[in-house]
Amino acid sequence: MLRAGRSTMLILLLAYVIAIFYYVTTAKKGKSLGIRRVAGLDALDEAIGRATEMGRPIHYTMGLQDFEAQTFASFEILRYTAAQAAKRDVPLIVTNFRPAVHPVTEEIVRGAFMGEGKLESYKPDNVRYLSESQLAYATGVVGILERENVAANLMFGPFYAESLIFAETGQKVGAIQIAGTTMTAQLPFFVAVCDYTLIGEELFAAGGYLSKQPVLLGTLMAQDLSKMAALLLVIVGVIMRTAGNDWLFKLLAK
Amino acid sequence: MFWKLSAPVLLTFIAGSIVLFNFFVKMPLAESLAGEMLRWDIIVKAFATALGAANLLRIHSRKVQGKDQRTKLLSATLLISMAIYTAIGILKGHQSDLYQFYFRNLFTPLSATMFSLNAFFIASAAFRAFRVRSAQAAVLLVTAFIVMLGNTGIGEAIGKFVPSSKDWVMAVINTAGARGILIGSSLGAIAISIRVLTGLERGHLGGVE
Repeated sequence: MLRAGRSTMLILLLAYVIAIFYYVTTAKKGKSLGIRRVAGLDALDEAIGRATEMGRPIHYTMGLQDFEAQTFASFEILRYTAAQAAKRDVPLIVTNFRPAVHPVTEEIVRGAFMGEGKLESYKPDNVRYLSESQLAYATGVVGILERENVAANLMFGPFYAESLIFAETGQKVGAIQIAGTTMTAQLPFFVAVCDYTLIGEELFAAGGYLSKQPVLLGTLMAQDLSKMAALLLVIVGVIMRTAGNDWLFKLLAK
Repeated sequence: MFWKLSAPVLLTFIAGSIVLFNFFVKMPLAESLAGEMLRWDIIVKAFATALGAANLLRIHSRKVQGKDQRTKLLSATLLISMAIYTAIGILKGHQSDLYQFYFRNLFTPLSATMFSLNAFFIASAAFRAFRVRSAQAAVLLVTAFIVMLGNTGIGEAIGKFVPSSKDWVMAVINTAGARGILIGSSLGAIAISIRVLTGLERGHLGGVE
């Protein structure tokens, strides 16, 4: 028996899943799917290149949550960053807040170095678990940014009050900074201080964008389509409610 | 390859499907299975905490033996405080007066100090953001000026229109923008969840393609 108030949600989710698999199948058939440029993701190479030229390390943080959508998106960016760092022999320091996320990041970085045939350059001590206390973690990150004099500070994932502490410290040490989060309260800080910021959904496009895998690009097309549908629903909903008709409102609440 | 790739994808699919099914369908079996999954999550996290502590011990033990005097001192401080606090927690319990004393008088003030840095950082970030270099920056400056003025007593003294303008900016413009980001983010989060659940996204599986 369906739970109350979740019928429409289920139908919309199924429609979304169908759209995703339709575009994935289309992409698999070899149809070219255009995708807009995301400056923040393009700048990753610039940041890694700068660290290479300066001979200084890159710092990467996954944010402050366990396994959630943003963390999974961040894993993809970490994998790409680690592969590029391995290719160019740049030290990559990853700091973790959640102990459960830590072994996964270790495996991603090790795998990326192995994939580039540079396993001997992989330093397990550079993937660090710091603390599960928000401000103790912030203190640890600030210390690393200052002491290691990082050239690039990459912050992708869920952030809270520590976002500005990280970004301002990165600015102070002269690091090129790229951030990405869906936390609307922290976005203004990142936009004000960082060189590039991935806003909201751009973070979730990273996997497809960086890997260029047609299958993942297919899901991005479905994502864009559903966004259009959501926008249409908002416009129609606003018009109907303004006219005193709450049929759509009730339908969505079913 | 099965244990590195297929097994994690299969387990993710099974566990994720059960929790998703329970979200939409009311069924006692699905409810108890989903509850069980969430309990397993707690157990996995407990083991992960031990791994995290082991990582801290390994890295800082090595640093204590290193040549850099400053790093040596910092790492030794971390290891000693970790050992003392763990010992108090195990021997006296985390509700004990001694444990709470250290928490209230050492950890809390240190955290507050770190958090208070935000006050200065906000000022310097605002200074950078409000430099009028483009039309967009000018709009940002004017909007921020209205909001800041509306939040102070001076705004109220200038006229009732100042706080009401601030309320309008926050309730209409700010909320509309935030909700737009929220809708896009939510759709992106669902898409990535489906990709992880079906094994299309495998970034978290390390170097396995």
